[in-house]
Amino acid sequence: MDSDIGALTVIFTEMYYWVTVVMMFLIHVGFCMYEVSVSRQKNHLHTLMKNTMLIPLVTITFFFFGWWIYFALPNGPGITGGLVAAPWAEPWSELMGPHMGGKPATAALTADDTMGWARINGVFWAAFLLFSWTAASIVSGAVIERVRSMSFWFLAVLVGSVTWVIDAAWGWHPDGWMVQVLGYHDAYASGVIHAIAGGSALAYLHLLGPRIGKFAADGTPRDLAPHNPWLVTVGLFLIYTGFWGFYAACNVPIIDVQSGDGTFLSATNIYLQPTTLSAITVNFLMSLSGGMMTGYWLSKGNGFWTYSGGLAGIIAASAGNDLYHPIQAMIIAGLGVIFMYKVHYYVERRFKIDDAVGAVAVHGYAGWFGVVVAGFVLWGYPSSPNPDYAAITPWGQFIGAMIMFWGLGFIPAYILGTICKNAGILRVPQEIELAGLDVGEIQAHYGLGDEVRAAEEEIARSLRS
Amino acid sequence: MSTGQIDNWTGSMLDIGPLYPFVGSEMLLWIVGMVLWIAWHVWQAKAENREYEEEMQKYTQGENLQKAMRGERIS
Repeated sequence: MDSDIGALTVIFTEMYYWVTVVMMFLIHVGFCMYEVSVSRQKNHLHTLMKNTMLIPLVTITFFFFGWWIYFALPNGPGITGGLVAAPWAEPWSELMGPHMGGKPATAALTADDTMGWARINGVFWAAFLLFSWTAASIVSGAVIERVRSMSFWFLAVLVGSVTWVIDAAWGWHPDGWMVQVLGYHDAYASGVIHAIAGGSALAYLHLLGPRIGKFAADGTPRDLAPHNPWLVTVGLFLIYTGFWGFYAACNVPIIDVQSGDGTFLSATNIYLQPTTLSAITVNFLMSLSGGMMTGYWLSKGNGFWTYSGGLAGIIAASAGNDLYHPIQAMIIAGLGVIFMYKVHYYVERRFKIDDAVGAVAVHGYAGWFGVVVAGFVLWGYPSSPNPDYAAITPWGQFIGAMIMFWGLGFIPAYILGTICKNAGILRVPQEIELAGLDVGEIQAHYGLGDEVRAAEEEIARSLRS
Repeated sequence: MSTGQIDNWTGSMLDIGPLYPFVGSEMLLWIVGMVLWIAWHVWQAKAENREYEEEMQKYTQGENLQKAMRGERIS
């Protein structure tokens, strides 16, 4: 803020992230619509509340400790260094509240800290928070119609405010140890958000078991089709729309990328490597298209898989969508959809996994695929502006994908789920599942409809007599 | 006199830091926030357990479970 251009850059950046936050909110409108479309009427309100309440729970915990994790843990700690001091991100920092950027009130901060972070900290926090909601919400859809709310919300906090933030510190930070050592590149979060959420969902699904009636006695899966294809359509279109904000929020909008003398202002990805909004806009649309076409072809025009294919296509290309040619993005998206579709049905039949919305497939398998493929297609590209960091390689990306899906996705969720299962709080009792998870007054309300109709018919009869 | 560090908007803006009242109470606020978060989970867990226990008592009586599955009102 020491020059007019500096001040305008900061205020533009503040406004930019604010817009992305508002756009990303639509992802959660879409998730709610989509989950309801797939659930049965007796479970609607439970499905909605389960997904909705993760919003406040992840928000406050991301404030209480999640934001600090991102800045404090890029070294592991213990892999490339120790904990990193991040006084602006500590939940008790004055920079976590409204601040004009002038002199700090405490000795923990410098004048540069307050000047640099006062206008950016809140919107940057919020953009990351919306990623947190997304990670937790991905898990939400998979486990509908049998998970207990309390155990899901524990998992939502674990994924939304702890594990995904650790993976972001490791592999989605300019100085994360995975970037330094493995050359990990995941520009639009194929692994960082989607693979970890898919891995977490798979762990809970394995422990939960399928919904009653999902599998026939001989093990054949039954297709519990969406009850409302219109909600599927609108929900997934809203998720696509919010995904534009997600992509934009993965960028730094304006920064000097010129090393040495001179100035060259550009947008960058999260690793501070130059890219353009044009590049990611075209690649977003091409990968969406490749995914939808493949989903339609594979499923012979099934709406659920066509829309999900579009989403999975974007996710499969996201790791390298800052650098891919648009036709590469389209082809990678199509291959990712074939991979996730085949693996989904293999896992469903082989392990009796009942993923109600295909979340593990669309996010987990497609995200894992996207990270691995980027290692081949971008082999030898720098992973960072820092020339001392490792370059992108297939083995670095493969290790990274395994860390995301299994190391930080499946394993922590499996441990939490096992604790919940042993405590008897993982799954609702069978009677509740049969009657519907909308218990108590809500269940009675459904029944009340019959009483009201009977009363109306009685009045209608009395009018005729 | 104010509850924060702002008495007026005159002078250099570079001297203005935190805008919120009671600067210095941040750690206490964080502790209160953490306690409220954990307390909410404790309350919710108890409420959910109680609700399921009450429902299970109903469903184990007579034809109540079948009625509920048909969407009929049960007492």
